[in-house]
Amino acid sequence: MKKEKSIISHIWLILASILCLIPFIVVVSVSLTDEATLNEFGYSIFPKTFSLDAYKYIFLDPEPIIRSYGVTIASTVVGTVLAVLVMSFLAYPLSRQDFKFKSVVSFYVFFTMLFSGGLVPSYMLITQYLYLKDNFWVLVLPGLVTPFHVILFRTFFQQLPGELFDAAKIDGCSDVRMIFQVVLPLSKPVFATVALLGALTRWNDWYTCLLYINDENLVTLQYQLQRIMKNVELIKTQMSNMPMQMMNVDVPTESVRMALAVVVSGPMILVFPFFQKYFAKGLTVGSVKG
Amino acid sequence: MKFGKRLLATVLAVVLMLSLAGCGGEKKEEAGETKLLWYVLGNKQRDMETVMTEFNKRVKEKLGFTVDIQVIDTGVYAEKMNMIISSGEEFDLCFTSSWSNDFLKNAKNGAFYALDDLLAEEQDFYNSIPEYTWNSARINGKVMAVPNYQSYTYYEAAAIPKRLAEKYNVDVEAVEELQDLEPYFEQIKKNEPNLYPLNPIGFNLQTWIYFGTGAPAVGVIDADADGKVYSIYETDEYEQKLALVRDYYKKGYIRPDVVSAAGEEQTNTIKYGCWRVQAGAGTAANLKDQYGEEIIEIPLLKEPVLSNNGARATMTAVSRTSKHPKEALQLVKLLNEDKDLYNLIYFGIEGKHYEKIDDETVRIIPDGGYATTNGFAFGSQFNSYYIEGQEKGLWQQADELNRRAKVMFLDGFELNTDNIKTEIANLSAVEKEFDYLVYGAEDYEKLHKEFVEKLKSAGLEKVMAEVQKQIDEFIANKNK
Amino acid sequence: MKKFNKTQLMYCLMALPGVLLLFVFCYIPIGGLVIAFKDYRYDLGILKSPWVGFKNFEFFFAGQDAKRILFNTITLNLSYIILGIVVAVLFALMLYNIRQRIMIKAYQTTMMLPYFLSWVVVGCMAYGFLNPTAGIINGILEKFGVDMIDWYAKPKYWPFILGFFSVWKNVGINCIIYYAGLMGIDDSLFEAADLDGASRLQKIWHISIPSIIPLIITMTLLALGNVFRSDFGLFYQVTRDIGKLYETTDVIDTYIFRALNTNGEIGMSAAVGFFQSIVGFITIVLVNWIVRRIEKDNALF
Repeated sequence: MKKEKSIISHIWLILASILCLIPFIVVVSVSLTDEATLNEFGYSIFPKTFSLDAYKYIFLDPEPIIRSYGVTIASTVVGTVLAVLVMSFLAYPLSRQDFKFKSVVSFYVFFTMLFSGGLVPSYMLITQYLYLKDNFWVLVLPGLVTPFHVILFRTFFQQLPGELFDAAKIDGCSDVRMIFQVVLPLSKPVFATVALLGALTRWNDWYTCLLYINDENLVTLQYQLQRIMKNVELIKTQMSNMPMQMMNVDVPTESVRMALAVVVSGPMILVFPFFQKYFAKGLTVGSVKG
Repeated sequence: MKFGKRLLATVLAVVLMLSLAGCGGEKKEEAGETKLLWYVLGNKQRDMETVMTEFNKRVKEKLGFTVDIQVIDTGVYAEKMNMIISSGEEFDLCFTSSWSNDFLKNAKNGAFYALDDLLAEEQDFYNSIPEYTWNSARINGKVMAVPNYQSYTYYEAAAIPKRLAEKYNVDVEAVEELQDLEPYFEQIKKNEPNLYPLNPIGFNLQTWIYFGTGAPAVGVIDADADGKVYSIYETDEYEQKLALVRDYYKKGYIRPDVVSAAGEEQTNTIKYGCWRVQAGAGTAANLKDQYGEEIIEIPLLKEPVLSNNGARATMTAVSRTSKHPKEALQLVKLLNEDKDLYNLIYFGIEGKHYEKIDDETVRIIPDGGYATTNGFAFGSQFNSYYIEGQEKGLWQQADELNRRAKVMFLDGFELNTDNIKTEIANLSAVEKEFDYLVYGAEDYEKLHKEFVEKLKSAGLEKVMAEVQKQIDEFIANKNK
Repeated sequence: MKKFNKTQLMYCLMALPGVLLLFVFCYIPIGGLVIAFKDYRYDLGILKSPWVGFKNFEFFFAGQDAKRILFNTITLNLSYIILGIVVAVLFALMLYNIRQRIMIKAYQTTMMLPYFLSWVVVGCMAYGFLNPTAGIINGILEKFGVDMIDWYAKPKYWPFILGFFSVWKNVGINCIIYYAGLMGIDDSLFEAADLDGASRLQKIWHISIPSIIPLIITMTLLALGNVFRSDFGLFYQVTRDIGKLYETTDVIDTYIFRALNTNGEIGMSAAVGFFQSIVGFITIVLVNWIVRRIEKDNALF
């Protein structure tokens, strides 16, 4: 009886996984196909021919790619760690009924989710007052507090059973110790979730780089991919107005673009299982209580 | 919501404070050292630094200051400059054009420094290029940028691979309009399974030249010198064009998925038997370079066209925020006059980045670390060396054509959109919505009617009246 | 009465860094909202540009397509929000239902894959599947003797196609959020249910789902705030911006892009952004108020 039910789950999950996997396989397959074949047959799930040309092209001059890996990894790690710290600290008081400014601060956080002054004022602030243009910290600081993640933290903290806090209090646990000994161990799944969400957003972010970085040493990986895509887009839309020489600009082939997409997202996929460790059961409330 | 109000008040106060404080907080320059900041678009070059050192050495010698040239990736240039300019950041020079970092929008919103006074002292430089190029750079009567002189005349042309033209006996000389190529399309359809006969994208099939007024869907026919404003999508010519592409689509000359495939064509493989090019001086060499075989250009309009505001394709503007507008203009002038300096920034250093085949022709060294495609962003292109394969004397020819070309009678007209901003935004949206009609994939009769209806309810008539009013005024002033 | 004691001080100190960061990066630039009411000129800056009242809002509301666009935006976003949540919760429950650790990892990892592809790449991919001549889908249809479909010329299919991609791209990440929520359930609850002889479905219905309801409500509330904003990449890249499809796919963000791309009036786009914020804000406050009346703890603020 029990088994049957989980078989149904498996079937659905396998179907979903296939749907998610196919396009990714196609991306890899296109990256391994040479341009002539692509032109003739279009995309296919399995490469009709096999060629590593696209990857060779990308790694012809590996330096920029490696450097970008460095920047992306650094900004992702530093950003995620700081973000998780700052946001969990902010969310904890918001989850406590006894916090005096609970509703005011909640509203303060939440408000920024909907209202923003737009790009121009932010740009002015960051470049002209904070002098963060072409600075590594611009990739980290502005996005440290994501209201959505704060709210996630808060919702999870609120779910922690109140008896636990009462019991700890009775045991003479100080507020600080309570956080480290009661709240933290129980909240690992939340921390893992938010860290993962944050890391993904940072890894995929290219717009910050577009706006604030012009120094090749600080260019992120996603931006490397995006600027090529943007070149293609520009030629597509402005074809009739551009000077002729511009049309000759070296636009990488479709296989190269897809290969780059693989190179850009690959490492994150490998890192992902690391986070999964924390989604395991057994960190549950019951075990602590017992 | 009392809290919200208080918060808003606090925030506004802080913003105010900061913006006031900002006035005093600008970067100070080291004494005596002037260094200009110049934004251009292009692909970043690995060996930029070597070239810049040499470049600055020479500029310092001649003008007494140095430049920081910031190259921004072509595809993101417009977005970046939009931020830089709208936030009022300090810089001296930038590339501006009709297709990236829009000149018109910037100039109208006060981004650029009016150059008239400075140019008055540089009569020789001013006179070195035709007056109409300066007219393209004029907004509200003020020169807002320096055109980077290049070839402005072009032919609407159909491109056909020479190999195919010979194989199917196309009498190139006899072709006067696209319809004359029908037998060729039929042959391609029958015999070349890997090619689509015709790529309809871009062809302007009108027999007349219209002057874009600056408002979408509204044009003036150049041949009638009365300046009467037309709704271009309601003309017979437009309808004939729709009928023609529809016919070709049905006959199978146009790829069945043309609508969704639009714009996918930027590869170096030939996918069509015939496509549209804007042919001008040097295009043949460019095409050969791109496709690796010879391409014939068949002109579809008899006389070369001087596109309206063609000079806006490549310009350099001095920023309103510049502290050194005078020096900035000096630099632009120098790059337009000093061929060696121009070629240095275009091709790099001889022996390292390129080698000379003869006096005027160069070959770029592959993997030399400096192979730009953005020479047009720095100054007059006619200063440049020929790249191997380009015909010698090309620049002189193009220059001559530029000077001989008939200037459109509305040249210098600039639409003031203040009263019709709303309508223009909505018209642009409608225009884009129906642009797929010219690919022939749908029966057009009903859609065309719908298109015109929508244009009308988007305020076409109001815009036409406004444009007409302004054109009449323009003509009246001109005849004074 | 809550006293300002050591605990309160600790709370304040904990919240301080986050509050400060938000102040600097969000509240200071918020003054820029005034651009929506100004004819923004670069040479005059934000403060000195002339006021124009509500003129910047006109072009959008006076436009003939406003009705169509608002309708598309709301219906598409609402259905994608609901669909997204339902699908993610279902998959999270299924994951929670299975025990094999390796399989859980495998499913989660593959379901995350789409999230890594940017919309541009997804757009290319969709084209690879749907393009009328060489597309993979039409290839399959052909094998079954079904006529080829010119997907990009048939607006009626697109709400579903976009819905698919929207859910597909985000299901992995949303699923993880709910899964993490399920992980927090007290095991003793299940043990008690087992003793009572509850069936598996009963346990899901009476224990699993109720325990993630607060999370679902939070996620829905947050999503509702953006019901007037659309994922631009989805509606622009995946549809390839084909005019024929606007009928069913044109949303506020794509319309603004199209109308203002050429003339680029900063004031006008700021105005639409302002409108989107205000409406989203009102929606959230309203829904939050309703939630508050039903169950105070589930409300956002």
